[in-house]
Amino acid sequence: MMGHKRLLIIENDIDMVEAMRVVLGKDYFIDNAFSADEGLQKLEIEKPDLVIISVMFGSLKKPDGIRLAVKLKQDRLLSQIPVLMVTAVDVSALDFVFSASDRTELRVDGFLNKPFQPAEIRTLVEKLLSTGGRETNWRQE
Amino acid sequence: MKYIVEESIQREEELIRRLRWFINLRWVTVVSVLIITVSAEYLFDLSIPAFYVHIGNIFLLFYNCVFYFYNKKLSIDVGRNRFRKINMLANFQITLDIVMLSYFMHFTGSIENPFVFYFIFHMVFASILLSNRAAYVQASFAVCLLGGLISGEYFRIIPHYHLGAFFKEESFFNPLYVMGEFAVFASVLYITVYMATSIINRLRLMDKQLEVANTHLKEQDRLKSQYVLTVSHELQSSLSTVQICLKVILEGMTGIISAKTREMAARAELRCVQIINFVKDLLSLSRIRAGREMQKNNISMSEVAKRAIEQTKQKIKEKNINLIEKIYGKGLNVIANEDSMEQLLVNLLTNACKYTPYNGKIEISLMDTEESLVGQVEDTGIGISHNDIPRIFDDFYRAENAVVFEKDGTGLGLTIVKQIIENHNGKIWVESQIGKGTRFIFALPKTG
Repeated sequence: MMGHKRLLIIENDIDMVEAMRVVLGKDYFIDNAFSADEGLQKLEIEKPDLVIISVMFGSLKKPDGIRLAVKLKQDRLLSQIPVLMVTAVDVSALDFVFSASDRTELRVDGFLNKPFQPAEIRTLVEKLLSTGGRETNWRQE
Repeated sequence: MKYIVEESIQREEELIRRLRWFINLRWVTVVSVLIITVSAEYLFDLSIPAFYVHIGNIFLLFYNCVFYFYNKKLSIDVGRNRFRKINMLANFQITLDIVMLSYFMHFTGSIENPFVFYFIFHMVFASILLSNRAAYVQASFAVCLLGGLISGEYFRIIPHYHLGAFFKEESFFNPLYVMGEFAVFASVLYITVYMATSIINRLRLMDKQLEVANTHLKEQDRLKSQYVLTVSHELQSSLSTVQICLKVILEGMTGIISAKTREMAARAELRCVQIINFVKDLLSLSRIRAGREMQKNNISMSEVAKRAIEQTKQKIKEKNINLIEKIYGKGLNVIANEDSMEQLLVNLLTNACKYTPYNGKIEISLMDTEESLVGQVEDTGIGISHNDIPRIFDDFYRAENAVVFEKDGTGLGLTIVKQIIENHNGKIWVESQIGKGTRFIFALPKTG
């Protein structure tokens, strides 16, 4: 039964969180965090099976979501958790904000561009949970 | 910081280039001195002490060799004091040249020799290469050196070599002549430095102003891009949330809904998708126009075409359109930005699909010519009227029949196509016949 798996959604848009909760809530336990700091805390305490991180451009100079994803993948213990990155701007547009070195640092397990179909995120989450994730650079996705 | 370092490296490179040019001129000088001395000796019988001139010339040749190799070494040097070294080399070369020219002057009639005005060249060089102060110091050095030389000769402390063939009578020992010549000589040098440095200062000032303006523009450009990105992110985030909320309702995840509610929700969802596409196109266009981060690599267009077809396949299939692929040649490599190339083909295919009725035909072909890669997307769609053709690449422009045939459209798809082609120094044109179909043809230089 998949219902035992726990997902953590780190996203500052409460409406999006609710929509994802409806889509994924039947099959998984879902918790959420509205900021990177809160997310990191919950990650350390809850150790979820998968984390969904939104790029979160609250402020452009500090795109928390990406910083968090980079930090997470550098952490010895937490790096095991598969990361699904969700972004509203085409991934290649992030070139605007990041230098090449930043870009190579960001290695997550999956990308999903908003808007996505309910089926899309369901399939991807399922896939990442069954394979345990496979890090890729955002260019190779 | 990086910017400033790059600028100073540019200045260093410029100095190195000028020094190299200076060294090349010195080779010419060595040969010219030899020819002039030999002809003066044998053809014109100017009775100059050729031996000393040759010795000087050999020394000139020797130190030019030293400078040549040192300059070569400096051009690949990356040490910290590089600029200081280059500057010192420039100063030292000019000083040494002034000494050498004075040496030659001494043995060839000093102030009587018209070549004495060759000092002007050194003053111009000094003004271009060195600081203003250093240029005046060099001028003063030349004036003092030649002044000393003339005085020495006039007071017979050192011998004076008279240019017999030029001046039948010895006028060198006429104090008025010597002083007059010398005064003119000195004033010419100072005036030269003054004029050359004034011009150089203005150029340097303009350079600086340009540099400041350029930095300012770059910053503006960055701010603008950030602005566009922020706005489109905000719009897309909100719209995506609206869309997924509607989708959740439409898929029945929140419970059963009435047919009318479903219809209205579906309308809202469709509008959402349209506006998201519009924002996406707008962002895409502004990014491509900004031309930033356009990394160009050697890419295989046949691979890119495969991906573009994969992306549009679904829509084409839905309309039961027959897609014909004619990819001639293996690889079809071209130096280009991969993402842009994919977008180019996707946009052309999407466009063709959009304006082609059910059961129609779309043909995509790519081929290699000697210098360029030629691509073609042809459809059996509604066609473009003669009047619309010149404007179809304009921002937001949609032909009248296109709007009638397909309500949904941003009017940016072909603008993006055109911009991508322009960023790659290519060309695109269109052939069309109303009711028959349209053919877009593009050519991209293989070298990017």
